[in-house]
Amino acid sequence: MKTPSTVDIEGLAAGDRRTYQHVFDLFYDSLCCFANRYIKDLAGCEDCVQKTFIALWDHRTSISSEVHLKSFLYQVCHNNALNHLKHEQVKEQYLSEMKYETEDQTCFINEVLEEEVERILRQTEQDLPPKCREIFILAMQGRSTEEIAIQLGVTENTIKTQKKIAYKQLKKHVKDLYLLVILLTQ
Amino acid sequence: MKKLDDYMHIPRLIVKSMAEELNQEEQSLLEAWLHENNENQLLYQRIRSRSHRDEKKQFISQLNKKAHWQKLKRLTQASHRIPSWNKIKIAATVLLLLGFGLLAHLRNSSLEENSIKETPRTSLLQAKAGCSQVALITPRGDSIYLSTQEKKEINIHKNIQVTNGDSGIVYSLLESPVEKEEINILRTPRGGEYQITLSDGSKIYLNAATELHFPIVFNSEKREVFLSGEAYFEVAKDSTRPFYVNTAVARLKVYGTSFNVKSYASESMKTILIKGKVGICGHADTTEHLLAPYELLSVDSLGRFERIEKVNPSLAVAWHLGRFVFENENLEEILSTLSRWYNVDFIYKNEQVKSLHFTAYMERYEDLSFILNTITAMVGVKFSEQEGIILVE
Repeated sequence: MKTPSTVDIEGLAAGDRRTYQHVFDLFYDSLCCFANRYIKDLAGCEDCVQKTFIALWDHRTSISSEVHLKSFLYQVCHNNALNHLKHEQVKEQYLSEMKYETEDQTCFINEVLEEEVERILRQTEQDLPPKCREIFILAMQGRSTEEIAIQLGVTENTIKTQKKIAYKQLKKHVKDLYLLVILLTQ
Repeated sequence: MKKLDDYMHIPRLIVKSMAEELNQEEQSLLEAWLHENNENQLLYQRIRSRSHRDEKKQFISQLNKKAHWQKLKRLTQASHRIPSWNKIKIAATVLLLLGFGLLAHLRNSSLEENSIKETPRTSLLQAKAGCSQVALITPRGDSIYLSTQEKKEINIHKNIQVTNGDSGIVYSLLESPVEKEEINILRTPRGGEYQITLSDGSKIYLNAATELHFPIVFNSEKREVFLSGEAYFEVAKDSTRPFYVNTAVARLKVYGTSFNVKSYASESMKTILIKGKVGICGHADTTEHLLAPYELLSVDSLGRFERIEKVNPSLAVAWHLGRFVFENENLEEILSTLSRWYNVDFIYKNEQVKSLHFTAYMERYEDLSFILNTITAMVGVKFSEQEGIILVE
């Protein structure tokens, strides 16, 4: 099933349950992966993400844009993860090891960026037919058209066509970029 | 400080660059970001290699996404929603008031049935107490997580052998003195317990949510440990070196003996002597009070001596023999003990029930629902599980 990549922010603010579920579908996996950077056990990660979505519901009216939505989710998830660690009484030990990684805002931002790239790629993969997905994954690992053609035993032209289909799908997930670029370059 | 919001366009740029679909403007934006610092360039390389893709997929495949959505749906629909802990309490109370009429006709069916129907797999009420696990923390700050199931030797110091196994952790001195006094910390989580034998042969049983600081070897003058929480001590006789137990509120001097100390933050400290002799001096007092066997001495949370009373010693120390016995304790005390042992939280629908006094003898390793059912049967207090806490009515 294809999930639209953009979120109806107004719908969310108005308390629309389907939009809320849509946000859950889009971000659940990635937030769990993100939490997993701090919390090692699966249940702890899911618990932390659950709390994050509860917080989103509580603050839904204050979410002003999709960018804001994302930074809200990752920021709250990050806080929850650190709180979770505190409860586990290992925070001290953890912080002493990870001080430079977690307390540094740059590092937090970079972790989010990495998780977001993976999320966009995963979502694109999800929407592709199997053969096309395989090619897309290889291409995203930096393989050239020629290499992929040899590995899969098909012509370079086939690869090019499939890549086009995949990139078209990918663009759906990155389409609001144009708007953003305009905003930033004003 | 940098704001995450200002960087949320970067992932899209990176993705596009991976697909070689960047236009000129986007290209320059990406480059500007890359030139901000070295870390960004490293990050970019790492992201492009997608080295964690399979690992993440594997992790994601284990998530219980559906179940969590169902739970979340319940949690966010219940009321207009709960921004703070206080509101949770209010909402839960309101729900309870509404719900008790309904619950009344279920009175005869057991608590276990009532609450487990709702959340069969994750019910708090099935919690078990006393799983043997502990964290051992060394002066270097390393935490070693141990359970009695795994037999192993722990390398702490070359002159000391430390083994872990069925009877907990055992420290034994291999060679004569260790010059520097190194302190180790043993910490049990809520719901855990552990046993340790110190280098002088003294045995200490740590109850749940307890921390013990001890030197790996005692010096030639005295033996001294620090305790927060509850522990049962069997101190080895050594007439030349007295044994001291320090807590947040008092200092105990021990003369070869068995006793139990319970000293959790915000509760008064209680010491029960089984045999031998101990002297206790609250931090706010100057006199030492001597305790005779089967006496309980309490020190309040400010370090002042409260009183000495006679007790049935099997009561307070039963925990380390796998039972628990409450004699004429109030419900609040009992539930706060249970919450430590079973790692659950209770909230009270009304305050009056807190002061109900009763006596109970139970096996400690029964699951929590059994114990709560028994309390319900005895005094009529009801328990129900709601979103990770247990409500008391």
